[in-house]
This record gives sequence, structure tokens and C-alpha cells, in this order.
Amino acid sequence: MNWMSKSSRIALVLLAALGATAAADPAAPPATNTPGDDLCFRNGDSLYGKLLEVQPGEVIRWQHADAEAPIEFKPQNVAQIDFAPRPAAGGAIDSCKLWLANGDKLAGNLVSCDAEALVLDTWYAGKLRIPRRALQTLAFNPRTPIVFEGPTGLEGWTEGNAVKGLELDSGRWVYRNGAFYADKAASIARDVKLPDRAQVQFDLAWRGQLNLAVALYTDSLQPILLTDKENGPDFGGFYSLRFTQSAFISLTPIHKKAPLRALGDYLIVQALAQKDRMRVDLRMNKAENRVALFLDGVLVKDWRDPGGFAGEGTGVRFVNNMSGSVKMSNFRVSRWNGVIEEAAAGAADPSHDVVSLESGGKAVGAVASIANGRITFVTTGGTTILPVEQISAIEFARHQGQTPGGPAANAHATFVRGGALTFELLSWRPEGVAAASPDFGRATFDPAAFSRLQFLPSAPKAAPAP
Amino acid sequence: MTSALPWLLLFCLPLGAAAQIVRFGPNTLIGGSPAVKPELIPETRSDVLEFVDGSALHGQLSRMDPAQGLCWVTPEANNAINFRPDHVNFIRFARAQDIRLAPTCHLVFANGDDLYGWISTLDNERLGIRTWFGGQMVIPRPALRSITFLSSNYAVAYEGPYGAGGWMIVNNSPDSWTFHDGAFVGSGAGVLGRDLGLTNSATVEFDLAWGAAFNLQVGVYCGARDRLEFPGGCCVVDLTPQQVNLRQAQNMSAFFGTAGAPLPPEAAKSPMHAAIQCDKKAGTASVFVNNHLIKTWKDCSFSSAGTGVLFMQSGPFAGGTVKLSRLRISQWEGRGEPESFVPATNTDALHFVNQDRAAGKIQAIQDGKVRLALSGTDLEIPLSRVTEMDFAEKPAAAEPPGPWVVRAHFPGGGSLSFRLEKWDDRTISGQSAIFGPLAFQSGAVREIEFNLDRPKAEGVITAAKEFDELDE
Repeated sequence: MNWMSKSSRIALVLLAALGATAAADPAAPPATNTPGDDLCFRNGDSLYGKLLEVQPGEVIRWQHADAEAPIEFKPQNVAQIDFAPRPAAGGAIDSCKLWLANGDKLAGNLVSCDAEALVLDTWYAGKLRIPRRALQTLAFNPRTPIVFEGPTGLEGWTEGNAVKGLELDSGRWVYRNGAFYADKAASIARDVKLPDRAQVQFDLAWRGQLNLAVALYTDSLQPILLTDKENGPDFGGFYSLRFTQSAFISLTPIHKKAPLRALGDYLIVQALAQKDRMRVDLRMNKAENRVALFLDGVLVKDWRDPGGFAGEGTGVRFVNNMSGSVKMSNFRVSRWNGVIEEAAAGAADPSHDVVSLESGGKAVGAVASIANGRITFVTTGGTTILPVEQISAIEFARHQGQTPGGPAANAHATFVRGGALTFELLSWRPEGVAAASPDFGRATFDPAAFSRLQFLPSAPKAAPAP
Repeated sequence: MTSALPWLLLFCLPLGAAAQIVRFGPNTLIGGSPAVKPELIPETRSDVLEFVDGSALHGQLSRMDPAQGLCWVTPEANNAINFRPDHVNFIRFARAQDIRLAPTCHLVFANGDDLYGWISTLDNERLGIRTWFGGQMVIPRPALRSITFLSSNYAVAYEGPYGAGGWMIVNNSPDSWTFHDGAFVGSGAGVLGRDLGLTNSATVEFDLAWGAAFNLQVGVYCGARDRLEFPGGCCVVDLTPQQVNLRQAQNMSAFFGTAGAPLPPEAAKSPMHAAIQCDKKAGTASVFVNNHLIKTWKDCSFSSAGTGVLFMQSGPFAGGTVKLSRLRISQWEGRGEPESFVPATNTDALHFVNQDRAAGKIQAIQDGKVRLALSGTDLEIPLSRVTEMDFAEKPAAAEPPGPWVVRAHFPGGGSLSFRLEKWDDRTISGQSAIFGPLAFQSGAVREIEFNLDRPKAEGVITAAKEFDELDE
């Protein structure tokens, strides 16, 4: 395979870090019509406009700019509605996220929890009382979340010097309108003071093939020539996340004296070859020797380094390795609460509640109550009362047999600020969305809370009992 | 959209011209002999209404006129929907009746319309022309932009697609090739092939849109329809967003002609219009992208070639999504001269079969000769020596813009813009600045385009500009 050998050659030449990502905004509609909600039919059709009303099983009333009167569509033919961004969607900052056993996720502020239920105060539906049997994971958002946001210019960043021995036409990263661009081999780095548990996110877009290295937890702001690292300047260990020829991804711990050996095999993400942008989301935890990679919100790989955490610095470095154009923007470094949504489904101890502490430790037992900012936790050693501020997450003991949204669920809604909920949609009107679920009973939601509403196919009706 | 009308109704009698009714009916496309049972793919039988924002609804156009708007019936809605045309991009009909054409020339008009037909006379004021829809007609000369004389025995072997029928589809990955809304969509390794009985020189042209990467192979004169093989005479064009290559094996020997040509950056953007022209007499294969010649490969041999075409996705980017639409395959004899698409100037020009070009004033066409005023001298040249005539740019009557100025696209090629007055399931009628009152059978229209001056691909343009800034 010719491209494989080429890939190997490139790997030898690559600079230390490579990273790239590109996440893509969903294709926005051309601005020829007023941007609106998008009504998507089961046959693949779509129509922009504005949702006026949903009466499940009866009608979806839709306003279109070119239609003389509201259009009445049949709900059974509609797959989903994507809502246009609404101004002032959401109020105060949510302090936590709550995963339910059925996979739903809610954001809000924790009010209380007792043996029966947890109460979550939300800006979109008021206080929701959710039974303990429905709970899976409660994760508090990092209290001091944002460590760094940018780029806002070149100031504070260190541009890489040309590396001798690298047979590439080198260039520079250029700053323009909130983004860094490179169209030749170029390096730029910054000590962003990566915390021990960190989340690093950025958007990537590229033209041609993506060949980018991202150095993580590096103490060197200059690129490292991997093929001659032993003879080059000293540097501390770091991880090199490499995107090669758009579709190949690897994570390699880099040490001054150790041979190059990637963690696991190269990932081949064929979908990347068909993209020209994506959002990269890295979650890293030194204590767990862990680096997890999300692309466009999907967990692609959760690496564990058996050799211990390689990163010895707190900086990041972006190195464009070939003559392809790359744009990096919306770069954000924040503290991470250590919870990966996809991993939350498989709790370490499903028969007990597990409390993760901000200090990094864990405690197994039973959450007796949460009230007035304090959690009462019962373990074999006795009862402990802790301020909620010392808790990063709680994984609740599992209960069996939960149907998402209950047997009457007919809709799955996605929230504008993350999270999703399955429920029985009773009605959708501009003044409120009426819904019901065995998890929260009946509630009225602010329509501005949702970015998408999917209509679930009707379940086949069971044959009547003889 | 199909109509049970008798095949006539083609009339339009501007400027008092006598009408010669050209009868046309179904199943009259030349070629298309599906010897192999194709994989049956459910076809979309409904019309498509697409808006300029890219949204679309399947259904059926039930009537249309400026007073009541566009009445669309869709099974998704409880009632018929009345739309205004302000943001409509086009209506594509599920089925257009085939037209048998053996035209001698292709006329391009200053307003962007084009027609296949037969010319008879030309003077300083008017052009005599016979069209499939209006018989013998006279039109104002300033409306003309160019006339290209087609090779002898020019015939359309295939135009579409209107469905997957007649095609053989080999899906090496699930649903690699599917038919949807007037296009074949390829999203994985697979083969799409058809025997078209190609025996003469052939031109395969199509619109191609793609995602981020693709590797499309187009075989002409293929013997097999389900796989790519290289018997003597078959030629295969490898097309990627970056370059084009040609492969051909003669008498089962090694490939030849593998030297490729890069696509210029302005051409390598989705969507593109690609044309592959195989000239049997000259032994050449040429590839055009967006009407610009990319490369001509010489010393091709099409002897002992097959008679089919196929499209195949393979290689590392076989997972790329490509969309093939406006596919037209024609065959012809003699020399094949591509249309030049030169920008309009203030002089007329003639292109000759020996590839010379002469600029002057085209005085007249009469009795099979064209008279050209060149440096004070009138030259009379047999039309058989002329491949193309370009006409000087002059003010021409044009339709005032408006939401009801539409362009009808016809099967087999050609398009006409006019102010629409009425559409029903039998007749479409309107007023053309060139042809005067128009009326023809609704079933003879493949697509009606609206908002002719409105940009319709803004999303693509925006994405491209993101990096254009970098090149400053």
C-alpha cells in the first residue's frame, strides 16, 4: 500500500506534536432566506421556517416565508426539527450536569437529594424532581473552569524556529480574526498552565490534507525534531497527538531518551478524510495516565499510558507539518471534572453510590442526603458530612429496568446548552412545551431550551391479552 | 407529471413564422439497450421543489401561475401548499418525455439560454432557425451569442438520470451507488455501468459534486458493466479533486498514457462540469472541466472497444460521496470540436475545421455558405468548413427580472428563459424576449429554474473563502 509507506516516511519527519481537528459546524443554510427552524422529514426532505405548534398525532403547524398560510404537516412523516439559535436562550450558569440511567442528560443547579429523589433547579423547566432509581451520575462543573481562551493574537505565543534537517518549506502561523492559520510547516506554542485534570478544545479546519501535531503537557515552546531528538536541545516529556494525511491519528509519549512508540495502533478515522473541519476535545487526567480524544463530540479514543503520564510541562504546541492550509480557532483550556459521558454508563461499583472528591480520591457508600450545600454520605466507616464544593461527581447505585422516557415516549429533545431528554410530548406552543415522563412527571419547558426535537417512531402496539 | 396528451402541441409562432410541428414522444432516445438485468433500486417518482436555501420538498406540482402562485401537493402535508416563487430555486420533474433529436447545431444566446436545432438563413437582423418546439422560426440576431456546428450523425445516446433502470449497479459497500432526485450518489466503493451501444466517437459529460475527497473512474467503451477491466480500446479517466489521469490498455497489454494533468485550482471546486470526449477518428481522448480543456491524450486506439460506460469509485477515498447529475452521453462522427466559450467581443468570428479563426463581420448565411466581411473583402465559406460562429455582443432584448421569469431545461439539452404565464399538467406557456409567445407540453420540460440571478451556492462559496484570505 503506497500510502502506508508514505505515511511511515512522513511519521519520521513529523515534528513532535501534531494535533488537529476540525470540527464542523453543521452546514448552515445559505442566507438567502431568513435563517429559521429546519423541519426534517423522514424521506430526507427539509424545509426552513418557523415552528408554530405541535399537536402530537395530529398536526405540526409550520410557517414558511413563501407560503401564504401556515402549513399543516403530518407528524408521522416528520423525523425532527432543528431550531435556529434563539437570543437569550438560558439564564444563570448551570452548576452541574445530571445523567439519568436511560441516557438522558440535564443541566441545572442541585437543590437537594434524599432517599427518594433529587431536585434539580433548571432555567428551562423550573424545579424537576427526579426519583433516585432514575439517577446515574451527577457531575459538578469545574468551579474555576476556564484556564485559557484564545487566540486573540500572537502575543504570549512562541513561534517555532525552523528546524535544521527538516526538509520542508517552513512558514509561520498567522493570526487573523480570532484564528491561527498556517499554510506551510510552522510551529506555535504557549504555556497555558495545563491543570492536572484538563480539557483542551479547539476547532480545526483545513484545505488539502491535514498533517498536524499537537504537543500536550510540553515544557518546550520550540518544535522538537523527533528523528534527532536525542541530539537536540533538552526537553521534558510530553504527548504528541498526530493527525496524518487527514485520516490517521496517533498519540505518542515523547521522552528525550526513549524510543518513539505510539500508544496502541494508529487510528484510522475514515470519516475524517471526508471532512474539512472538526472540533477537537481532549480530556486529560494525570492521576489516571489518561488522554481521551473526542472529535465532533464523539469519543474516538480513550488512551491509558501504561508507562505513566509522560507530560512534564504545562504547555501546548501546534505544528503544521506539511504544505496544507490549517486554521485553528476557538481554543479553550479548562479544568476537567474527570467524568466522560460515554464512560458514565459503566460505573465502577453499580451497587453503591460512588463520590469523587475534588482532591482526586473516591469514596464508596450511600448518599443519604444533599441539602443546604452539604452532602451526607454513609460508608462502612460511618457517616461523613462534606461541603458540596469538595465533591466533583457522584455515581449513583444502579436500578434495573428503565425505558427512556417511559413507554409513552414519543420525542427526544436536545438542549441548546448540552444534554438531552426523552419524554412524551403533550404539546408544543410558543408559550411552552408540555411534556411528561416517569422520571419527572409533567413539566412545562421553555421552547428556547431546545436545539432539536426528534420524533420517535411509534412503537408497535402489543397484541391484546387473551 | 406524465401527460397522456397526444404528441403535438409544440407551437410558438413568433414573427409570423410558419410552424413545422415536430412530433416527439417517449422512448425515442437513441441507444440505451440494457442487455444486463440491473439491480433494481426503488426510484423516486415524485417531483422535487427546491428552495434557494437548499431545503426541498418532494411532491407534485399541480398548477402554477402568477395570480395564485405555485400549488404543491405533498404527502407530508394535510393540504396542498401555495408558495410564492420568491425563494424557489427549481422544480425538477420526476420524468420528462424523451426527445429524439438529430440537430446540426447548438445555439447559445446572450441571455444564457441555449438550444439544439437547425439553422437555415442569417442576415444582419434575423436568424432563421428550426427548433424542436416551434418548427421554423425567425429570431433577432442580437440575441445570438454563438452557433456551434455539431459533428455529423450527432445523437444523444443517454440523458438523465431519471432513474436507475437500465444501469447495472455493483455495490462493493452498502449503497455505494444510489439514484436520488435526478442524480446518482456514490458513497463507497462500487460500480455503476450501462451499455449504450457506443460505436462512434463519444462524449460523456456530467455535473459532479463531492464532499471532501473522491476518486472517480469513468470508463468509456467498456466491455463489462459490472467491473473495470482493460480490454483493448476501453479508456478510463481517473478523476480526483486535484488531477486527471487517463489509462488505456491496448490489446490487453500494459497501460499507456498515464501522464496526468493537474486541475487548475479554479476548476477543482465542487461542483464541476466534466466532459470526456473520445474521438475515434483522431485517436484522441480529451477531458474538459468547466468547459476548459485540461488535457488531450493522443495515440489512443478505440478499436475492438466495448460499447458501454461505467463509473467507479475505488482507492483510499472510495468512501467519499460524489453526486453525478445532468449526465449526457452523445455520439458522433467526424471531427469533434469543442465549443470555445470565448468571452463576448465587439466582432464576429468564425472557427474553421483546421482550427483557424477569423474575426470580422458575419454578413449572411445562405445556400450552405457563410459570408464574412474581412478587412474590406467578403469571403464566402462553405458551412462544412466552419465549426463555430461567435457573434459580437450587441444590446439584445431581455426579460425584465421578476419572480416569474423562469428557465425551462429540456431533456437532451437546451434551455429557454421566459416569463411564465401558466403551467398545468398539459401545457406550459409564457412570453420570451427572443421567441415571443411560447407554449409547449409540460411533459417536455425536465426542470424549471427560478430566481435566475440569485446566488444559489452561498454555503460552498463561504467555505472556500475561509482559506482564500490566507493567500493574500
